[in-house]
Amino acid sequence: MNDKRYTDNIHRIEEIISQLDAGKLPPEEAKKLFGTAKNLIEECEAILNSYSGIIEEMSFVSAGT
Amino acid sequence: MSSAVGIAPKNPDLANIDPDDIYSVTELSRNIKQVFSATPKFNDILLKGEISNFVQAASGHIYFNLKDESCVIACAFFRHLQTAGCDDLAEGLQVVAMGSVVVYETRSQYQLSIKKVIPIGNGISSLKLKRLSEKLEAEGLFSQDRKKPIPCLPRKVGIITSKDSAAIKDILSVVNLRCPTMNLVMAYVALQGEGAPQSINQALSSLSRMKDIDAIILARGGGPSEDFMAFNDEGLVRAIASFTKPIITGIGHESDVCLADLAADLRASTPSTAARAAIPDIQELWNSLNPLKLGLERSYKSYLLALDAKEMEAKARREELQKLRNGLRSLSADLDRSYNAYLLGLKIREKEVEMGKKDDEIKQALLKYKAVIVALIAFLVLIILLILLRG
Repeated sequence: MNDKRYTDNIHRIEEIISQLDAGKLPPEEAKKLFGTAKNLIEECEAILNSYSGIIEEMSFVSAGT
Repeated sequence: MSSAVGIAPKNPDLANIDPDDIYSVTELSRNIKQVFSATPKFNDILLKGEISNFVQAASGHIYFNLKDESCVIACAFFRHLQTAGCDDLAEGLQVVAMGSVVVYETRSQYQLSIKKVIPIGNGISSLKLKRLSEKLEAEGLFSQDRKKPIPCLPRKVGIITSKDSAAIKDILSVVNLRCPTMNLVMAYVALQGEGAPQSINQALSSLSRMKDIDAIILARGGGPSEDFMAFNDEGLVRAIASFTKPIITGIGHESDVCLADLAADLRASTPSTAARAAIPDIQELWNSLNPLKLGLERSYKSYLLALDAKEMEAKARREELQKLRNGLRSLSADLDRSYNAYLLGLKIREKEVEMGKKDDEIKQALLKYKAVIVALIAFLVLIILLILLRG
């Protein structure tokens, strides 16, 4: 399910931004977290870009009428 | 013109038909109206039925259908004829109505124009529905605890509706507005008639096997309440309640509530509202993701700048410290130098003092010697004087 992945990613990105803003991280860790957040954003973008507008159609009318 | 206007000959041939023998639509409708008003069995009659599709217009006129197991007739109860007790009229009420069948000529439609209504209790279908509703509620089928959350980013949405319904147009216009690239599965079903529940059930069953469908919309446009009977079918209501994926119903209008709505995970008042609940607003999501992306870049840049500033500060501090160290070293050398000079001076002075002491001792010795010599001289002088005096 996209839902949980997307919202979890957003929360994690917000957390990382807060940690970077606090400015208390060692440089190596900050670099690592920045990379993680970039990957999470790319994952969110991929989710939003995953809709391709495919419309499948099926009919169950014969059963009802 | 022949005497039988509008009566078709057995073998009509356009070439042989007198144009005056053909009815216009208005003429036919007018004739129907006349037949209704002139026939006693359509005037001042008593009619028993169950109220459905009850509407009280802003004008005060009341419109509803009277129905039995097989048929429905439209009724109008105009405001000036309404008396006390009309406030009790409601959906599902069994009544005896007194009135006349009248024809609305423009549309060739007929309805019962009511002069008086006598309520006689709940109608059969209303009672059946009430009992079924109570039974299903007691089983917990409508419980809030059973409701599944509606996903905000469904991978694919299943739409169960009729192919030519107004609902489908409403839903697709919401899809176009919010997420034109949404992946959809359209399951066309019969929404009314005896086979409608089975048709909807089959659609649900098929959609349940599609793993990437994350939400389902079950929708139909507005209409008289009789048209919603399929959505009160016990089997369908149970299927909706036990369905593994979230179902959003958008059936009819705000006022139309059926058992399927109560069993669904979310009841939207219309098909459009149901679509808005199921289809994500993709632009809004981009609008919230893009600032986050920029915010991350900005925060990391600020972090790096702050790190640089800290590094510069530390470097400046180190340089300052080095200067202090150098100063201290030079001070220390100065101190050593000064102290050594002082010690040297002290030694010299000590030697000088030492040498000064020796001078004093010599002086004192000389003084002693001087005194002894003086004493000896004085003694000699005395002896000489004595010798002189004696001599």
